[in-house]
Amino acid sequence: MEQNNQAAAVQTDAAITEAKATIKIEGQEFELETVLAQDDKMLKTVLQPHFSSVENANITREVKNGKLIVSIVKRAQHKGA
Amino acid sequence: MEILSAGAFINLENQEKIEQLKFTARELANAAIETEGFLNEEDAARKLALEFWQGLEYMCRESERGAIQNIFTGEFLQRLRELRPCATVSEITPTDETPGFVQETESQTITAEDEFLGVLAPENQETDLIENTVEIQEIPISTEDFAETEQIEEIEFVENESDSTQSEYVSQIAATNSSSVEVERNETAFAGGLNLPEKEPYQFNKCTVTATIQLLPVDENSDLRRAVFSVKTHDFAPDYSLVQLSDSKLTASLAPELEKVLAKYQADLPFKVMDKMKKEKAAPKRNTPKVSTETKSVSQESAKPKEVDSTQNTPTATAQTNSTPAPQTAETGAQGSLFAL
Repeated sequence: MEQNNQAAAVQTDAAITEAKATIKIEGQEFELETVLAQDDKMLKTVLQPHFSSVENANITREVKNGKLIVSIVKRAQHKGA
Repeated sequence: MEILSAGAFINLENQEKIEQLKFTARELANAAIETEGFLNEEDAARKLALEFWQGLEYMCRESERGAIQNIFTGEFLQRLRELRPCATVSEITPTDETPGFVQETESQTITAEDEFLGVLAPENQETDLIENTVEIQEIPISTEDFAETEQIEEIEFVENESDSTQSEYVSQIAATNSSSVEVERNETAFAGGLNLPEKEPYQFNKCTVTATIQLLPVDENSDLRRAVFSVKTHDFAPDYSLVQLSDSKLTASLAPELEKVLAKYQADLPFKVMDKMKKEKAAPKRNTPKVSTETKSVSQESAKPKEVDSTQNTPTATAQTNSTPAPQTAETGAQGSLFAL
């Protein structure tokens, strides 16, 4: 978890020039304002209505050609969760 | 005939008790008439009948209580009607020469024989129920204009001719019934419209569209409030848009922004559908070459020395990978011998 955050922090240090970020979640890709995608809490709040799995998910960020790309992977849960 | 004593048990099967009850009611009516200051009017008579009934405290089965009470009060009222100076509507049958029963307004006429109006024939007056929903008020006859009326509070009549009143009333009932049926139909149609099909078409107006509005906290020293609109349908990815709204007129500014977002989504939906169709068409093409790539990768991996070592350790993997390359030396020898032959 810490590694993920650190990795995200390192990668997001690169300059983000694009206003929209790409979100990758549950096999889907879509655009979202970079302002909303930069912060985990904000991102979870925004995505929660349509993607309930985001609450307990690993979020990784990287910047490619000035565009923020956020990958959200559902975290494995215990049985029955 | 004896007067039925207070608190006596009455049942409908016992005809003698019923007759005694009727007799008691009539006697009480006679006594009421003889008392000074008694006004022989319908309302007062009804109240008095109820008071007598409660005071007598007759015992009866719960299922028969209403019927027995009606017998008592009906007999009581009938007797009082008989003792009134003026005749009642039940005792008069209109002739063809008479214009019918004229009520307070001339346009409202009814006949005494009209069962729909609640006017009862004399033989049915015993069953006149106090608890009946249609209240009947009898008005004394004046000899000048022959104005015997029965006023029904809940129903208004417009027709002048007595023959047409019944049909009019029936038509009114039909109209009310049809209107109620229409209301029910509308309700059912509305309820039926909520049924969602199993597979909705990819059309904006014919599919479920989910739109959410998230109002973000207001920034300090700012009157603007940011809101996130997200629209989604089917299994498409949602469309997000961030807008700024004035906090003072929040609800007013929400509607136009929502309209914009929905209009944009409606315009983009066909492209989303096309993309999805393309992906679905392309999906089987990808699957077929995948098999070949997998086989290639397996053969490539098996060609690597490290992988061969690892596969030799595991029997299942060796069974797969050794099928071609591992026994090559032995086979090559045999082949060589075959070729040599």
